[in-house]
Amino acid sequence: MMRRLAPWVALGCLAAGTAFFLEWPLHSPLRALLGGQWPSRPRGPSGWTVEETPLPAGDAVFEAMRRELDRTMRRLKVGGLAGPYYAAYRVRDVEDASARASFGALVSERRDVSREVRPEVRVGEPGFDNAHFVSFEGWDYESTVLAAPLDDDVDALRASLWAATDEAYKKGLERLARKKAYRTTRKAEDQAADLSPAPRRRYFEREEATLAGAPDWASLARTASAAFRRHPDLREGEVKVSARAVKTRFLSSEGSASRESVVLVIIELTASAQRGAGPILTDTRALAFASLSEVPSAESLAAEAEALAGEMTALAGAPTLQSYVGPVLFEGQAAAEFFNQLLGDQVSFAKRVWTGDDDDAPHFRPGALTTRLGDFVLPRAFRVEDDPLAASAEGAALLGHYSVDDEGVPAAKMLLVEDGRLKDLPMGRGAVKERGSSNGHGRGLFSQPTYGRIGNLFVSSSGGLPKARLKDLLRRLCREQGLTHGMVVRRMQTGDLRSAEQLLAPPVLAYRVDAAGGGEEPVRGLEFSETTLRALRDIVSASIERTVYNLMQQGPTRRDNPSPVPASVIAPAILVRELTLKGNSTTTSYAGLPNPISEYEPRR
Amino acid sequence: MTRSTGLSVGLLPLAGLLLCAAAGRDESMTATGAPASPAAVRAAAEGPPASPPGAASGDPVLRAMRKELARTMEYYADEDPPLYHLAYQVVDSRSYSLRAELGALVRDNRTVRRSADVDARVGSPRRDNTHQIKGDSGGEDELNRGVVWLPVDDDEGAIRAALWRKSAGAVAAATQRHAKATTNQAVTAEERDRSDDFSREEPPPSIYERPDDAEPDLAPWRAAVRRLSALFKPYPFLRDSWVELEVDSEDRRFVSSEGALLRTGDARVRLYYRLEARSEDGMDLERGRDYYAPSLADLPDEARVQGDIARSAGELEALLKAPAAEPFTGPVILRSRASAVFFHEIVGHRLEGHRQKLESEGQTFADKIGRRVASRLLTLHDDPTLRALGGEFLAGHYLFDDEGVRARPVTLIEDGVLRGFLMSRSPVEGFQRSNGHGRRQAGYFPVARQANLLLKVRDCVPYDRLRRLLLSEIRRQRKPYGLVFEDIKGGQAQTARGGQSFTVDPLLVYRVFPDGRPDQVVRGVEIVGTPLSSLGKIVAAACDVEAFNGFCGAESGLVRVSASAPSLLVSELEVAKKELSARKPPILPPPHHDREGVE
Repeated sequence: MMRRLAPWVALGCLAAGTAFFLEWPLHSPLRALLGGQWPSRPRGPSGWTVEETPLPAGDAVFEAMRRELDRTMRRLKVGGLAGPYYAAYRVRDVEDASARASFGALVSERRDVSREVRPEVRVGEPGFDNAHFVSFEGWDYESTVLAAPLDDDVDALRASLWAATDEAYKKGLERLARKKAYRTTRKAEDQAADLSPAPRRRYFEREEATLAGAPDWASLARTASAAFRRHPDLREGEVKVSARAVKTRFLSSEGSASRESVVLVIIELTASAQRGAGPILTDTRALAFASLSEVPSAESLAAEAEALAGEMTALAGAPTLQSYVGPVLFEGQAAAEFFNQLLGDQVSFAKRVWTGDDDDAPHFRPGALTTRLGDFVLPRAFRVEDDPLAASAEGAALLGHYSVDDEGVPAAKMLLVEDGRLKDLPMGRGAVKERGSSNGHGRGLFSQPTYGRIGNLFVSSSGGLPKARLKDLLRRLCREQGLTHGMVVRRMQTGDLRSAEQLLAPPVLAYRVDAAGGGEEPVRGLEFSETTLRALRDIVSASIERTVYNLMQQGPTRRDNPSPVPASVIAPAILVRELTLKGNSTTTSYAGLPNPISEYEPRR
Repeated sequence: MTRSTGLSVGLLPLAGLLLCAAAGRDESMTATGAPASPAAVRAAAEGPPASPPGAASGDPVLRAMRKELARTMEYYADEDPPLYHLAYQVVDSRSYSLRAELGALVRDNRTVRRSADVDARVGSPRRDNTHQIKGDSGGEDELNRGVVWLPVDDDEGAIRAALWRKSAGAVAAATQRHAKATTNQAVTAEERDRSDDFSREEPPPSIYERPDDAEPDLAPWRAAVRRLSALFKPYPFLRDSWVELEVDSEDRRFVSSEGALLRTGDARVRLYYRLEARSEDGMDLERGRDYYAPSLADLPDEARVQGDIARSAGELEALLKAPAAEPFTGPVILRSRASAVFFHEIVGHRLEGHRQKLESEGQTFADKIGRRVASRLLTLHDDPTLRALGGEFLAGHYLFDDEGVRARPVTLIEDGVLRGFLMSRSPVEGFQRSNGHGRRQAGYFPVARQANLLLKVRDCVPYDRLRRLLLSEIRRQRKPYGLVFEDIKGGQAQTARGGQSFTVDPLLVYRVFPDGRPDQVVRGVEIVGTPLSSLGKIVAAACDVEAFNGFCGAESGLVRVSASAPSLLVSELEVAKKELSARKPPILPPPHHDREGVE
């Protein structure tokens, strides 16, 4: 499947009714929109300058930011309390276009332009300030974000920054007071700095991201979704295209500044299938592109829809299994999700957020591996790096690419795992005792706090096998263990669809492999059970070939506050010695009437 | 709109909220009563109900609706319980929104979408799935099936596929709720009102209007909202200010298993502005004005809006300096739009038909038909067929309600005597038929709602005379002052059993002194009290009828309404002090007023 997708990359799957996240604080650079090529290292450290570099001349937004930031730092204080010791503005200009079509007909089409301001106001001192604390029910978790004028009018822009800053400062003072009170009642373990030192750097990109010249999204969605009309077992067949151009400006009271642009296009194909009175099975495949020129043709998308329809229809008629215990081969997207969920998520969010209410604590948990620096977390053959500066891999553009993180810190490549041992963590400016400074991995949703998290996660293994050999190995392991069948997982649900108890989301496309003959048959309704981080060390072998997988990485707060950011995982297929899969309870539905779409001519 | 508005009675003990701020009366609004009507193609109303009028036969959306409705009815008619009624309502809505602040454009949106509601009834008109489930607070909320978005392309097959999915879900949910309601009836005490669950109505006529789908020319308006919003720049006390223009149109199609076939539509524009400030003690204050009209051409000219903005800014400045309100009980005048909201809340919501039989409701008026419930001076109507009143746009206008019933004017109170209720197709004792007031926001189950509420008072006097009557009443009661409620934001009412009350949120209130001192602005006044006692204390009215246009939120979502009334003298009203926001005004002055900030 991943092969069929080339040169695109798959971006996760979602169950029915789950909205894909449309909030993208993106930090990959503008792709060569005006006909240029994607450079292999588009902007290395050489693009950076020191803080004395002037802000771009004639930029009214920077002018408003500079003047309001100056006023804030010099004069914003109230009632004998201290003013901010640090403040930064992020202002983003967003151009959105989206289209959604069902069975060939347009359901919605939207274009929107907006400008938003987000002040980061810190009171207290770098060692202990108003950040990394949630006082009650997560209500004060969100940052202040206000709509700002689209017109480049300095007075009107300053008024928005002024109103947002005033609110953020007052909230910051209140939160600091509550955090201080909390500290007196608890022996909180993490006393490392809330704002570690960072280099003062400036980076200004010249290109402007724009959706001008974009394809006709409505017609793309119509044509692609019309392919679903040929499949009478589908209840829903939908294609949604969301395109966004974002220009983000950053300016901090320390003098760091940046301006960069990005284009992101996400195309989601959703199919729901039902056979007779069987369960309704839904899968969403998302494809992500970092430039308009990469967006596939309507015909290619229609072929993708056709394939999805076929897979979901076959799955709807597939048998269920009660349980499976044995070796599991993860291929393509499933292998990448395996690493995303068990490794990427678990090495991220190291800085602990204190929660005033104990009930909130599970929603703000650091990754489970963030306290295991120096330990073996993978077999010795594995090496893992995270490199946001990499723009592409295996010929595909990477979604986790950026040059400056959301805290204004230059992105940097880091060695995460060497010879199976955990060597480092992705860090923002919120420090932990083992890691006292940022390595340019502080990112978050525009309206939410930033955390250290992965960008482009490169997983490699020495002594890998050709992919075809992994399946042979799976069958051999089965025979050795006296099993008649093995299991191959080719698609998994994305991390946000895990329950709080699950480390691994359920498979979407799982196949039972005959240990003797090697034949495959789809099985449905399975989920992983009793999975632990030990699964990483139980990897028996990996493939030489690697899959490039673009995704929206889940934040530390699951469910209601997912805070996803774009990321990529580049990983080989892997064979895990033993995992447990259980049949989940599937509900049956009414058979009902057939889809009336079958009475109509399939469209071109 | 989503249900997160939190206004549904199932979620909150609120029966109704008149939410929006007012549309000012505007003499320059020269609407003649006929809106900029779309090129209407009225089909012969006398045609057989199930056969589409000529113009409708070429309508792929209606065709899809009719085909899927027929197929669904046939398939489920023999189930137990049978599907006996099915209706589809499809609404094409188009909206444009412009917003400007301090001279700069902040928002420029256009939204086009097509919603579908599927209303399925299983069982029989006598007892069906919509019957109340006593003691189950979530039981009514289950009737709200949520909205489904249909393709905006006129693609018959794809539209049918969406209706098909929604219908299957609606029938399954109806069957489940029918079982629950049947059990609930068996195990709980018999209801006082044993009316049927669904009224029998005359077969509706076929009406087919083709909407005017020309794009409005917004270019001059982008400039206008920028110019108007720049007028707020001179005022250093403003925390926030904005000007918005909304242009909305709706094109509604309705088909039912009874043979209804309707396509009607309407359009509306709203220009409004707001100015917000916060007092030193943390009280949020605002002034503003709304102008509603059937089309952009009918909005007032810019000079007039400029004048209003200057006056509003002056009023807000006065409010900031004004003393905070004290708790007070005494005589007051409610200026016309304030009294209109007052009647919407304290009377209108209690006259919604279904509240007379729901066991959870206060049933204030259930057995009072034919009896005096208010002063003999008062007559109260609701008339959705009115497009305007005295040249003033009325937001609650429609031709057919959301159950496909023709809108009809209804007399609720006549000379103080209760005559009728606002009726949907849910009958109550003595009222077996709908009068076309079954309304909903897309995604909700329709219930009886207000449309254009009209209060008429006999023997009205000029306003000056009403004010003199207030002064005498203050003296008679030996009060230090009385109050005049000049402007009002909205209100809310609780109609549930055991907790009937209302609040109304005034924006501009004056103290009036009997000794001839000038009037004094007060801030932070809130009207509180129990409804019926207030109703009996209306002693006189002026002849100055004005309309309040806005949205009303209740268990069937937000619907557009208006309420019109004259200024009223109330001999006794209870007033409380509004809660403070507990936040200080901005620390630094606005950037464009900061002398120190000049570099």
